[in-house]
Amino acid sequence: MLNTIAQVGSEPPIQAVLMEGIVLLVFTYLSLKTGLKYLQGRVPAVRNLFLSFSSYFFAGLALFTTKAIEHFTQGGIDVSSLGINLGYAFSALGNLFLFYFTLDIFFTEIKPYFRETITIATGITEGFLFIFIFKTQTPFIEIPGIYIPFQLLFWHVTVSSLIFIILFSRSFTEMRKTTNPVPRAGFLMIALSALFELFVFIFFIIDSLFPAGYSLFYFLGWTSASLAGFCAMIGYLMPDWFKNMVQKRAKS
Amino acid sequence: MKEAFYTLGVSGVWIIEKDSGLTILCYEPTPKIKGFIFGGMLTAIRGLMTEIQIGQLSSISTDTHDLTLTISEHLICAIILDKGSSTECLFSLLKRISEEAEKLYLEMKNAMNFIDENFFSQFNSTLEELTENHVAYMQQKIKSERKVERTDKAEKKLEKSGLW
Repeated sequence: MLNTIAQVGSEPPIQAVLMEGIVLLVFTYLSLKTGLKYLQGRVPAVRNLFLSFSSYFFAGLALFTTKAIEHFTQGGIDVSSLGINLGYAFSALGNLFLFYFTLDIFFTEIKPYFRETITIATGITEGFLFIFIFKTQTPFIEIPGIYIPFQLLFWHVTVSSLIFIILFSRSFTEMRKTTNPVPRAGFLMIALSALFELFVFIFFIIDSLFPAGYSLFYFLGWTSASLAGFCAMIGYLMPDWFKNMVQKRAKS
Repeated sequence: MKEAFYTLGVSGVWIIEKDSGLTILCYEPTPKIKGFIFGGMLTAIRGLMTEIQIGQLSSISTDTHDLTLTISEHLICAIILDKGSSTECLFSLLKRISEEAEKLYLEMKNAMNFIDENFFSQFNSTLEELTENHVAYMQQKIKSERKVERTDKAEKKLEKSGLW
């Protein structure tokens, strides 16, 4: 039987808690920043990006808090499986909003049923995840160490990968077409953030194949998540220091 | 060729000998008028314009169609377009048709020294090739223009959204 992270019987290592803490910080910053940008302009695309980062933030929060509780109680309160499953649910939601953002920004013509298909596919993930969570992991019935079935994880990874591949390819194509160095660098960063987010899921699915859990791929997954957040910060928010750096480089 | 004509919004092409007004080639996807009547009518109007000294006839417009002419050394090439079609984008096609027709006309004149409509009917294949190539070129052009537009839009959308 393949479980996502099979650390039954042992508390999570401090490195795992720290890695998730870093990712939580990155996505807290991104959520706040995009939230403020949305309040300034009330643009639907920015709202979708904000909702995406907020969902990632909640995924990070669920993962970090449950991991920290389990670590500091030395496995006494085994809630990390709930955190992981909630993390998957929030990440699926975040991916869907990221897909809406991609449609808003990178598409001029949307093929019929394209938006609906991805929405329904994510809905399936969410539906099954929450049935699973409510059946096994409500605050009243906590069955420790129960992780989502591999088939459901595989479905979630497939739908998410599709979303990231669409964003990556669109952004990369725009980058190749643009001659202006600043937008070029921005599109590259957006493409890289999609690529790193794709790696997060790939590394986690590889880690799920290790019965002991917390393999090297688990940490690579979280490193990718941090890098995705960093690239997103530059690509989507385009800070002034980055603009100046690119312009200086282009001039020299 | 019929399909290409419909795509371009062309209702017909006529090649008329300038001096005599004789229609030597006529192509209409849905034939409505005899070629010689059209050639005669056009020559008459051209003659009238010259007579009253108001310049050369270059186009005629109705509420649904535009007739555009290109005049070469020996021939008049007339094309009727639907009102919505872009005359600008079809002008290059008309010019190419006129050049090719002129070449064939000279060839015909050198070979037989009289006008043979049957000899000129071979121009149909040239006309087909030219129109189809033009349609393909226009489609490619529109596609690449759309691509450029899309690039601009993604960039502009990010700028307008306040993110960049």
